[in-house]
Amino acid sequence: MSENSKSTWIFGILTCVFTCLTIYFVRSPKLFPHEYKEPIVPPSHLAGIPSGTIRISAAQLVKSGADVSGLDCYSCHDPKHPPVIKLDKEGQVILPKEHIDLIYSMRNCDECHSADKGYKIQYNPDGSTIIPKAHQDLTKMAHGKTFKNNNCYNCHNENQLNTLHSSVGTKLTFDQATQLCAGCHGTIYEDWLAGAHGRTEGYWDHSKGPARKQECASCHDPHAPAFTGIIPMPGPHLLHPEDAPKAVHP
Amino acid sequence: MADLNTEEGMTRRSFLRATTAATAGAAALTSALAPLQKLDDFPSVDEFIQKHYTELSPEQLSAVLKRIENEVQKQYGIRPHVRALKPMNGVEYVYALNLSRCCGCRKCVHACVAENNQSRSPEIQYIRVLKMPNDGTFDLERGDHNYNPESVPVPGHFFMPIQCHHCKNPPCVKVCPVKATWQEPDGITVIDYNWCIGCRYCEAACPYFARRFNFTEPSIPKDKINPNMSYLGNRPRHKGVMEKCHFCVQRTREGRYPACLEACPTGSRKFGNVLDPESEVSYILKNKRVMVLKEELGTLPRFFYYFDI
Amino acid sequence: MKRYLYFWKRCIQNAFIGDWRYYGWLGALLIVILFGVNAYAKQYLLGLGTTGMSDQVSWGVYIANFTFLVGMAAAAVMLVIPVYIYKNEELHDLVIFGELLAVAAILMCLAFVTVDLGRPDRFWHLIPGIGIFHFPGSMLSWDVLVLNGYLLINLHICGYDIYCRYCGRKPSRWLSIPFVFLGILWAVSIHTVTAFLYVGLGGRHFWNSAVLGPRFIASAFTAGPAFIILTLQVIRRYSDYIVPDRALFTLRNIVQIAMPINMFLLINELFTEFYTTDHNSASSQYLFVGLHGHHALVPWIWTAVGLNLTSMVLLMLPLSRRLVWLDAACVLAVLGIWIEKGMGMVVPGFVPTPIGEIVEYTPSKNEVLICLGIWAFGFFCYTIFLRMAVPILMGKVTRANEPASTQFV
Repeated sequence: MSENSKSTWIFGILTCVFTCLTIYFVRSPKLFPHEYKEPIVPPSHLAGIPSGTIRISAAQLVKSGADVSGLDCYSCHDPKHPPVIKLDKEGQVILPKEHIDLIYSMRNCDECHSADKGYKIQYNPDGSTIIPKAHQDLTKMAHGKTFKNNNCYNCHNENQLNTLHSSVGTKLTFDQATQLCAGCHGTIYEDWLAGAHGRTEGYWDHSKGPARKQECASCHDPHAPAFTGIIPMPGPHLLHPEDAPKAVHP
Repeated sequence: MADLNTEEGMTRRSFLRATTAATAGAAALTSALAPLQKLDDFPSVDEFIQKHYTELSPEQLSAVLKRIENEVQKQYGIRPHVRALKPMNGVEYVYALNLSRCCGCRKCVHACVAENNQSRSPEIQYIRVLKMPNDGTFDLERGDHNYNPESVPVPGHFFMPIQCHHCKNPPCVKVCPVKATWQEPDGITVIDYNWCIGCRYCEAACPYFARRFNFTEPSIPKDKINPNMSYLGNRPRHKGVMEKCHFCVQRTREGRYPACLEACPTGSRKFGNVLDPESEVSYILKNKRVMVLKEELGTLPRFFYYFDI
Repeated sequence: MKRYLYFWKRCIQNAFIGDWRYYGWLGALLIVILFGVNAYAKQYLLGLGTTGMSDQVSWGVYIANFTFLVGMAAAAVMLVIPVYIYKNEELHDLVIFGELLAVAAILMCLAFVTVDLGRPDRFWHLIPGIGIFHFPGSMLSWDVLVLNGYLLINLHICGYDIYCRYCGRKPSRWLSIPFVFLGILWAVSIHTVTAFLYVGLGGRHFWNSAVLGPRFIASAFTAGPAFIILTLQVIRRYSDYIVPDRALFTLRNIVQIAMPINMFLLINELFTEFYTTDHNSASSQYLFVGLHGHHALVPWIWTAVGLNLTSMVLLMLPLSRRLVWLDAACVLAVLGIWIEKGMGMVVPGFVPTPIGEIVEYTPSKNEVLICLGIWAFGFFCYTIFLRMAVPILMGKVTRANEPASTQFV
């Protein structure tokens, strides 16, 4: 074949290929194979701003002007006969079942549960709350890991049930409960005063607004102060899930 | 080979075949560029010639803010309020995180996503929480990033959230070729999203995996937009630019706490002005056992981890 | 001035003249380039998510190829040393071929960086005076300066030399010699600055090592001359230009020195990383032996080491005085160094991430098409440059041979 006709062949082939490519590029080929599924994130109030508290303390209830008739101890108890604390065979306090509903009513379930998954408080036929297994320790007296602070009257005043008293006998009202906690938990109280312990909400710059602290009992149930578990929110996503490491991280 | 030194014109045949091939080639080139037809986010002239944030005059700045408000309204149907907040005098921000109390719930992660208009698909999270074993180790390689137990905290482990440390000696600021990221006088390392060229050198430089890049156009559901925006903070970004934690500049420069701090249920996060001796962060730095990550690198982070119990 | 423009007109005219093999080669390259253009159009539309990169591995094959090609550009100037320092006039013309290769390589580097940018339309932010140029703080700004400067130096040297040859006069010493020596220094600097891009990142212990700069130079001076040996033989075969064997063996000598230095530096690195296995060597562990069950790059790096060793052995033997074996050694060397400096240097720096996460990286199909497109573009440019330069250097196209009407006296 002469040089000239070889060139013609080459040009012919190139023309054909270019034409095919033109058609190929114009047909819309699959562009972006990834489809990112929207991650399942609970409603924004859970990720929430401003912060809620895990429970509503008696003092908060009183301050907010809520119905506190259920907190009047002497609507059930006799002022002349201080209630007797019942102990189980290990010497641990048995929480009266009448007080269990009080515990649940003061809890902010939303802080740990996600409202979209739904949670339902279930009741016994006699109207008392059924305790879910996961919450058994919420309804025990569990103040401290060694349960040595489980005597009700260490904090409550047996002769005047609507007050508290400190370890040296100072009488305290319910909204002075923080002073009671401070009597044993002094270092944490100092931290709390400085703002280094506990949730704060609002302004770091106090000239612009307040930094709202919480009282001890708004986060910690004095009867079982340790926090129970929270369901964690979703973790990070890889941009290219197909590149996810297949080997398990030891 | 053809004689190169003469100027004889080509023969008709060689002209024809060359022209045919060239035309087909030009058609192929045009159609190769066909995907660009779908391009709808080409920058406007104003956006293209916009100067660096620090070089804008007040009039130019308010014109830019207005333009951004218009763009966001057009895209999401909500009229936002985009501000350019100045740093406060006599303020240097410091963040302290209590490793004894963090329970690993990741509420801070998602509060940040909600507050800062981050892309949900793919989801960009500025904060990365590591689940570390209580083994006497601080070896980050042993951290689990993808933990998903039924409830946290998990016995035998502690949790360590990592986000931008706003270092005093930031490697990311040093390497940016166009100074799109810099440190403001109040300590916050910021990014001008309209100046960043997307080279990702800062992402390679950061020793804490704090920086994120928009590999695709972010997608935010319209009902989740937070309309309180700031130029250097949480206004919606576009593909091809970097972003990262900015200490919620739209909140903190107004004196408020960052979103991650307010969402934390255990109060593990503390933030404030370290130049104020009465602030909680000054108290923590003075009284607690405080450490920083990768201190040997000399980055001088402003993010401290401390222990209580 | 008119004469200069006419010279360009002639060069461009010559670029269009060729036989069927020329058009076949250029046509094939154009097809690959078109695929690359289409892939880049998709990437421009959708963002860098069409690549395999992620926040964890934020640089991939684009920057890997960029690093390799900066080395090639630097080494293209290796021919300059024997000619100008050792006054080997016979090889004078080959300097031009080397520098044209440097120009093509730099164009490829600029293309790779552009496709890697998230916002290439904002490139003007880099221009000093109009944008903000973070010099001397950012090593990337140094890189922009030295690469563009090197491009201009090389364009000047070969452009001036070819134009003088076309005009039939000897080049003025002041316009060529200082630039040639500047070019030698500048060549070392472009690659050292590129190395410093990586070395300067204290948080990435795989890169933050004093040996990275010397390794870059050593591997560049291995792969570059090896590549030129291959291209010179292509020139010899497909044009009338006579390439003396002397040139090939001079280059072979350079590779014979540079490759063992490269291997020695590798041994240094292996000892440093593995004798005390601390966490600073996590990336090296990932690369050479695998980390926590992830070992995608291990076969790659050992293949590269094997290729380099084989190439080194071949080059040391007198066997490689025969061109077939020399070519084999060169191909092995170029491939080995491409793997070792590209994927074997860029990707392990990102695995594990600075906070210990392991995410591996595979280039996507779109990414590979763009890389092939840019490589094809580089070959395309170099072919055109040679097509313009060879006839002038051989004396076939000179001003004296032009028709009288175009003399512009």
